[in-house]
Amino acid sequence: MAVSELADEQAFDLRRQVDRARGDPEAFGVLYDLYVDRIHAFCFRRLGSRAEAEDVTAETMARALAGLPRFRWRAGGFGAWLFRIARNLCLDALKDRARSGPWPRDAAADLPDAGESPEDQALAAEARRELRAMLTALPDHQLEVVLLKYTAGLRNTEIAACTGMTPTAVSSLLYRTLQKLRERLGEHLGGPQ
Amino acid sequence: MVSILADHSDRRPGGAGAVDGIFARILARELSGPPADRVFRAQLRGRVLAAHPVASQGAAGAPGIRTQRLKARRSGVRGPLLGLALVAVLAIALIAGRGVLFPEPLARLGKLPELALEPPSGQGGAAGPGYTFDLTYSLSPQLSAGWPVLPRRAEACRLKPPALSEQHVADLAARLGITAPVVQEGWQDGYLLAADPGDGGPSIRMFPSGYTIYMRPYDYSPVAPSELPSDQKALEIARAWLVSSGFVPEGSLGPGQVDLDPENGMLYVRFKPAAPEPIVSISPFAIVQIGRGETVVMGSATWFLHDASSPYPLRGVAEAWELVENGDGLLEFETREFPGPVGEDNVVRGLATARSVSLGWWLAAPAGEVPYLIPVYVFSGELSVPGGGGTAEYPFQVWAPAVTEAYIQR
Repeated sequence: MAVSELADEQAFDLRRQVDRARGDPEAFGVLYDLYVDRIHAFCFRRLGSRAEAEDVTAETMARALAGLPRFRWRAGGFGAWLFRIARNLCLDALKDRARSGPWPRDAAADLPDAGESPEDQALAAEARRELRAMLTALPDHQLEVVLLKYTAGLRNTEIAACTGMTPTAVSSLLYRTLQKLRERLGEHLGGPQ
Repeated sequence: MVSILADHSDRRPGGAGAVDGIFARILARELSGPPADRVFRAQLRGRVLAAHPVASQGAAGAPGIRTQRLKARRSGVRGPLLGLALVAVLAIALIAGRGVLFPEPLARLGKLPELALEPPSGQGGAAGPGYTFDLTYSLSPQLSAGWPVLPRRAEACRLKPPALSEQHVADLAARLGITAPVVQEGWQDGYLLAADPGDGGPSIRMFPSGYTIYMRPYDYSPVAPSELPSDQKALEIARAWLVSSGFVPEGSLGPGQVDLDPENGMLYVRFKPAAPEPIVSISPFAIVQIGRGETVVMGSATWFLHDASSPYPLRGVAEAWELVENGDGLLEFETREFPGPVGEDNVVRGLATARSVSLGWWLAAPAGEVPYLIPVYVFSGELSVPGGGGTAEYPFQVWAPAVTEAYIQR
């Protein structure tokens, strides 16, 4: 299973794979391949450092392995269960320190998109700075849901199972949050959206 | 124009309509996280898989094959069928037993461990699928009409597990060119032994069960099958590596099986011991993973040295089948295709119909005691369970102790 195919649960039949992984290290390896980058990406955006993201990713996988015999397929499925472990570990890590900002500046993050005009690049850079500021200022539970949606790539039902919210509440929160971001970014970039 | 559309749907992000325009690119860039570092990713994968309960009890030899102690329910039609079967097996036993000589003394190894699912000492975890079975058993018309003629005795083998000693691991490490010192690492209630330079280079670990794993860094990216060695070459490489590394003694490997895993850029070469055959338990086993350039990426084995063997008298097949019906057997099935329980109580109910029976060997390794390969009856057939709006059938095997009751420790 190529990692690029990870969104296609229907083709992959995740449930059967999880059942198989309970007693088969290689099957667990497939799940590992499927999720490790998404877990790492989520932890990185949540915690803001590669070192911490790697620590939490490793701990998440260890706990998932240990907990797999007790895992029962419920709403949200395996992905929600796995990200709930990662989410709780991130919350524990965040408790230990003041949030330093989930968007550390690195070279890749500031590279312009290929094919953009200079005007677009300038606009994008400005918009990115503004968006970072807005995301950093979001209440923690809103930021978490946005990251679970757009960084981890979870469905609303998975986010709901992961966070304990209802799917409707997740949808509503995402709508309000993105609407607010759009409006504020539109104001900043000058003009109604 | 910067716009974003609220996503009320239950789809994943990134589909049409979620976000658009320059905002889409900005949002995608700002919210995407970096993938895990390749070296970190590969090393963590090795550690996680090595910690899997089945791997740590010496497994990974048979993907998707799991066992579970049965919870049985007698079939309503069993009585008359079993009556016929008992008559048949008595006749067969009389014929097969007439004039048979046993030049070797029987049961020289004393009582044998019972057939059990529990893993060896301190290894934790059972290889169950997470749900239980409540099955009704029946025999195919052919088996109902009479059991096949099977041997009246079979050998049991006493084994010597590899020593969990620093010297042994140091010897293995030296053969593999690993210069790191052997150290103890905490493992469940005890420790394992590891020679790991800690810099991402090749390492080796030996677990209390005897499960030993060698790992080296590798680019686990997809590969064209043509970049990997042929099956024949892979078998040669794997055999040579297992012997030269000291994982298995020369001459003890069975035929071997090669499986291609192009997504992870490697081949799996799996072995069982040459004898006895077939071994239906997961261990003993040896697996070599071979990647590009004929590189051995990973090697793992739970292998035992032969200590002694002796023939044992076997119970009749009918008696073994009765044990199965009473729940004193082990069920094997393919979880990849199995839907699992359909009800709320996490119990799979269905009809298991046996169509054939043969002899096999099972690793009985009670905690802290000497391991044996003991003969078992292997009943094979179809498991019919409800699912998908109808009834689906899945292949299954169930194993029952074959040695007469007098020679089993209870």
